[in-house]
Amino acid sequence: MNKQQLKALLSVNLRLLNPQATNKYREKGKTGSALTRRLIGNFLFLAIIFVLFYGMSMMAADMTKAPGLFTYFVALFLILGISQSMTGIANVFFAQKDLQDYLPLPFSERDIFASKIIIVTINIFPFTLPLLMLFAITGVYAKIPIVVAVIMALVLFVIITLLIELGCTFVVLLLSKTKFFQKHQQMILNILLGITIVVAVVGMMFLNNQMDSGSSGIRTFPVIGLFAPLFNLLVHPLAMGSIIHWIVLFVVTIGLIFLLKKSVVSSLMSQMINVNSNVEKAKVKSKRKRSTSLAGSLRSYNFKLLAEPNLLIQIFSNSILVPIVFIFSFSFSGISSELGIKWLGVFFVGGMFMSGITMNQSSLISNLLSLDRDNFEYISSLPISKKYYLKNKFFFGFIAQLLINAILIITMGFVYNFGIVMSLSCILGSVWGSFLAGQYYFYRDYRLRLTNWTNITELFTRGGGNLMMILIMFIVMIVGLLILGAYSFMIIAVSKPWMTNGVVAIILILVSFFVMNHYKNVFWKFLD
Amino acid sequence: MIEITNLSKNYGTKKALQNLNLKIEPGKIFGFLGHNGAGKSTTIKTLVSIHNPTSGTVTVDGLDLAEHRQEIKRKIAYVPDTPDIFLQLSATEYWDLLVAAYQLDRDAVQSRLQKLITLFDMNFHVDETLSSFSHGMRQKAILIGALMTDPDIWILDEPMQGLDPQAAFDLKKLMQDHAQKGKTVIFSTHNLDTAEQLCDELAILKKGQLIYNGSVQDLLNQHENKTLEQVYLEMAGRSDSKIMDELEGGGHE
Repeated sequence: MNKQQLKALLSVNLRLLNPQATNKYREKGKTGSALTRRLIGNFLFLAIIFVLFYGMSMMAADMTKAPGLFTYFVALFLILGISQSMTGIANVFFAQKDLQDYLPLPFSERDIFASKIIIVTINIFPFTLPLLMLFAITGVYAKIPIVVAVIMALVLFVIITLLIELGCTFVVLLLSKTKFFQKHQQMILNILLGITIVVAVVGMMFLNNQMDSGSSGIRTFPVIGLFAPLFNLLVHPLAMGSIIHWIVLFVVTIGLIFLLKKSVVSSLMSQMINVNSNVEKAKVKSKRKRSTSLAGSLRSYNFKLLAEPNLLIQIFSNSILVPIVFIFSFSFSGISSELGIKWLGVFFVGGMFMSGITMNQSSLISNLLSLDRDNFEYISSLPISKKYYLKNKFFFGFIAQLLINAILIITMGFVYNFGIVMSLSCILGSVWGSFLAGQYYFYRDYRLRLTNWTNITELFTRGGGNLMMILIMFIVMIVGLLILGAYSFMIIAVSKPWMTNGVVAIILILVSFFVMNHYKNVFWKFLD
Repeated sequence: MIEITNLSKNYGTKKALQNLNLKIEPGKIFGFLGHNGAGKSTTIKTLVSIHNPTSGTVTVDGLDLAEHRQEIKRKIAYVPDTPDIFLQLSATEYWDLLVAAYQLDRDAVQSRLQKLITLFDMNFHVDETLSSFSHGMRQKAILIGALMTDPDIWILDEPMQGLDPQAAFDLKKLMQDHAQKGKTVIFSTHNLDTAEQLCDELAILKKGQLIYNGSVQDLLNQHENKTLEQVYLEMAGRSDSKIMDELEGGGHE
């Protein structure tokens, strides 16, 4: 590997990974290696906060006494890590347009590959770091000296991360060697990513169905055989079986690295040129009817913005997959299907919080304006109202979000036995919650608008990136659970539940009025 | 010397380039002319390893491009037809990236880089991002990067686009100097005056096929009393002028 080239490529990719932070530091006069150091520092700071945050929440359970829970968490975060890696690799190697800018330059294939894989790994850290905490905490609970436990956890984490990354890369890049892939790149990638997500959702549903609610109401999990050796590695590291498993893990990892080097990396550039050459002039014929009205034309235009290969998959996975993992991993009890009408309000508020979790910086509504790229400025020059244009866009994103939430709530309704009336109340809550949260994210996209992005991930990582997304999701969920818990307690404890519901309704109306008035004053009223 | 033999490139069923055969000698400025979609950029992108040919070979100084890509890339400086690349980087960061790519010593190129920055009047913009530049300034930043690395072969795809008259004049001078040193300059252009002024040799492409290869003077000698524009339009232009007459004579009907 050429250090000079790898360093330069990593510097470029770090800037691409978080353009917003890059611009912020540039404005403060940071350039060159000083800027690179600040970006790394920024990432490390967020990672440490995230690790502490996750560590504290995991500290509560003694995993050595719950091998089932341990293997459940491993399976959960592996599923998430694999699905995010697949998306990341597809993005970085195929959707990201900067790769073809490297083609005429004499960079070595290994360095381009290494820089891209490092960036994918950094980007999926928020989804895999919980594993590091899980390993470390399990080792500490197993009374292994803390330094040894942390080192073991780190080594195991690096091996698992490598296996995820290399395995996914192997699948995607080996597939891309085929002529069929080169001709139908977009279709195959979409199918592959779609399958990954379906497998992930089905896997999580399956895992969730494996749990038993004991008499205490606390969930217990059967041990998942495939991951039991990882548990033993950490709890009984010196047992003969564990030593053999350590050796197997090392051999498999080194074998995979060797295989990847031989079969993929050595021909990466020519493979990229092939893929690049064959998709260059692919023509997409529109099957949509031509619209004569402005609203119809704008709707049709907004639909076409979704044609970015990985956009829909990413939106889907971040809006559904990540919340599902969080909801499943932190909901500890079932819900009775025979709840009375007095619970409608609780489900309405639950729906609102659900929209707070599913809507994030990766949602469609949070990126629709940036998807316009330079068109946004051009449209400002046309004789149409900017407010009308933006409202049209807002409602397009809002409806897309509602569809996602409705699917999620109906699925949860089945899993947790909500019943039709409660599910409907939850959906209505999510409609209102999405509308309010949408105001924030739509305005955020307007403030942080990025028109010269080359890779969709650049849009998702504006602000604090994936780490911030997960932190916000955590906070919304904890606050949501506390409020829902308090609300439920009041419904049960107060003899006249309509009073509690009435007070909550008044609070909701006031909060809604405040939110709408705020965004009217800071955003909508300035548009024309 | 660059030798292109039976080079063809298809995009699906569309034949973008058909059996192109060319020899490009060092010490000359070689120009590609042709309408939009004639195959100029496809040829250039194949030469700089962005595209793979469907068939045919390219050799540079006797080395087969398909087998010696890295070695050949180090001999080439390329300016793409659109300067919208690496927009998130500042101009300095972009040049640093090239220094690393060509494995050059930063201090060794610093003096040449500084001269180019001054020549193209970019002194006050080196720490600004390429995305904040106008089209012409982006073009200058990309040109500075390519010329800074100073390899033997310059391949410039429509390099004058967006440049101000002074920068265009300076670039032409640099291209001539480079060729006079016995090195190769290949460029594509839609500007026939520039082609006439600069090119030692021309290739005119039409719908993916080579319709002329030779010197400008030979071409003009073959068509006495005609300008290069007239000759070019006769060879590569539209045969039917009816549509123009219709437009001028009330095409809104």
